[in-house]
Amino acid sequence: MKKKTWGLVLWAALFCFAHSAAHADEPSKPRTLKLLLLKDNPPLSHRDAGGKFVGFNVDLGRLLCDAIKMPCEFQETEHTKVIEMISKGEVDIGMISLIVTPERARQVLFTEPYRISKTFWISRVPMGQSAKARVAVVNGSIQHKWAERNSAQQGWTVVPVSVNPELIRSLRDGKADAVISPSSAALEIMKELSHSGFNARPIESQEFNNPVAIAVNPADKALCDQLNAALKQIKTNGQLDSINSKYFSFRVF
Amino acid sequence: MRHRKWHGLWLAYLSAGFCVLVFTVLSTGILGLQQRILGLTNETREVLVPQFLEQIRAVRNLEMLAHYGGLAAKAEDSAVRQEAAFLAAFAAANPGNLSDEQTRQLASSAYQLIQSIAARERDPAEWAAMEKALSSRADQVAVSIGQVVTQRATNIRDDSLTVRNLAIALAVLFALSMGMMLVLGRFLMVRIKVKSELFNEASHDFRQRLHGLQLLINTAKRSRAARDGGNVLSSFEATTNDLQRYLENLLEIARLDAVAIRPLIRKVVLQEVFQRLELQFQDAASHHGVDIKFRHTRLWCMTDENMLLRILENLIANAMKFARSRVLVAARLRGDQVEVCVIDNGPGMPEFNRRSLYKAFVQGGGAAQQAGLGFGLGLSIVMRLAGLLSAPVNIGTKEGHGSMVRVRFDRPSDVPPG
Repeated sequence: MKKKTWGLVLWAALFCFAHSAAHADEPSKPRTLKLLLLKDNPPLSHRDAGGKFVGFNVDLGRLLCDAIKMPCEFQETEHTKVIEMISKGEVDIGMISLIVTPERARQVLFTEPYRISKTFWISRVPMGQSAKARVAVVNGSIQHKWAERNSAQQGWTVVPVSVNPELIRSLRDGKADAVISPSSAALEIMKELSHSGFNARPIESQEFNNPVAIAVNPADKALCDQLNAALKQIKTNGQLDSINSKYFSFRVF
Repeated sequence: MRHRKWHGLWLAYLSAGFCVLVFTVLSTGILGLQQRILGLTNETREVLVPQFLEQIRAVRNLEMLAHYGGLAAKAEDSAVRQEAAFLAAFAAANPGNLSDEQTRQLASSAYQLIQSIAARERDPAEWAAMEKALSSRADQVAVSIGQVVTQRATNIRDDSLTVRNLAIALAVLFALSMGMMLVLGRFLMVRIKVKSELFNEASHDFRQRLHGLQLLINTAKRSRAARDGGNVLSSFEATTNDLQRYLENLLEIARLDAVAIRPLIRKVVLQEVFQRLELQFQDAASHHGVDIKFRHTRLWCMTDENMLLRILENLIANAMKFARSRVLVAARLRGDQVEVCVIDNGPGMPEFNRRSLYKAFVQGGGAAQQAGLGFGLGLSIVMRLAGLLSAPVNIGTKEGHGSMVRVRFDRPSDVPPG
């Protein structure tokens, strides 16, 4: 009886060992990272004629995924849903070029800043002479909140739009007299409208002088640390410089 | 003369101490410098390289500012001028330009001037001075990168050279120390050789004279004149015999300590050894009134037969001296080893004496009080011989309950018993 029991125990141990050894040989399936992009936001993220994601943030996202050796897939959304999607963990990383604010930092994790953003007043008239102007802003952006706060004092009518290209359309179609735009969108606007008498001047507000960083799911601190290490790596090995030169004539970080 | 001899030895000690001190100082210095080099290289990778890259980006943006300023100053088309001013805002806002206050202020002033010139609020001719200042600052930043790199490379090279020099000094000192040790070793060997020769000659002379004395005593005992003083002569003979045994033991210890003896290991059949010892100790046992028994054995072991004999001779002689009535010699198999035991029913030894038993001239507690029972050299010889044979010795004793000495010898299983 005793011999039988020992035999069973031995077989069970052998089975467990063989099972664990077999599983140890199997390569663990790498996790696929979900990267969130801002819809229709050239030159940072948009779709080309073939429907593929292109832009500075897309290239940067791919570089980071390569650096941390994880496959990634992109999703796009509008500005109003960005923080909610990241904070709820529906996506892992927000490649949105979000300006770091204390309010946002309470909801999501931010990596070390990787570039600096400016906010421009784009109009035919200087900001100081813009009373009763209709001012277009992207809905949910910090520019939107800033415009709302200052509209009463300046006498503006705030015109929220859903995506950056609508800023250009609102100026071109006369639905707005001015736009308050982040630097990347300002470049696109001025590319199209600089010859139509529009002028862009940076708004010197401390609120807009915060740097831009990558937002991360707040439950994934380890991923944030990995991204910081990857950012440091691509900053020093020249890869970030190469995508900088691809999209901008000046250094943006 | 004695003073001079000690002077030489102290000099050797001092030299060795000095070498150890210098070795320690040099090694600590090398380790410290290597740590510094490691720190410098790590700092170069972690801090300086990102700093260099940032400065390079600042230089590029200063050049872009100069370019946009030139456009704003020269372009007739106001749209071109406004676009140049717009792009200048980006070049002036780069974090690289924030790396030092002077560059940041210059970039900011340049941007303000570009804005004013683009709006034709200021004279475009003013741009030339600003362009010069931008170029000059770009040159300074670029050159400063080179200077920092050169300084860092110089620091690392200097430290590396010092490490190399220290390593050479360490190697030279090591060679010198080895040379000194060789010379000292040679010197000591010569002195030991001279001493051994002197000792051999002295012991030979001493033995000869002692032998002569024993012959004289024998002759005196046989002569008629000695009949009256026979007891005195017998005591004199016993004392002389003791002195001879003492001398033999002492000389053996001296020989074991001074000369490098190599045991001749071969297969030894224990029963043959026991038979020889039984014959050897028959008379002594009856003289001491002790019943000595050798338990029959078929065991064998791998050892030096002569040394085994000397070990057992000493142990049996010791046991016989202290035994009340019985001494037993036996062999037992213990795994891959053979254990040879010598057991007596003597007074045993107190606990405190056990450790000191291995030293020469030390006896067990009961023995010390018994005059004429040896000189405490037997166990000392046993320990030295057992040490040469790598045979562990174990002494089991309890005051009033006798003693048991066990010596273990190898008995490898791959040697055929036949």
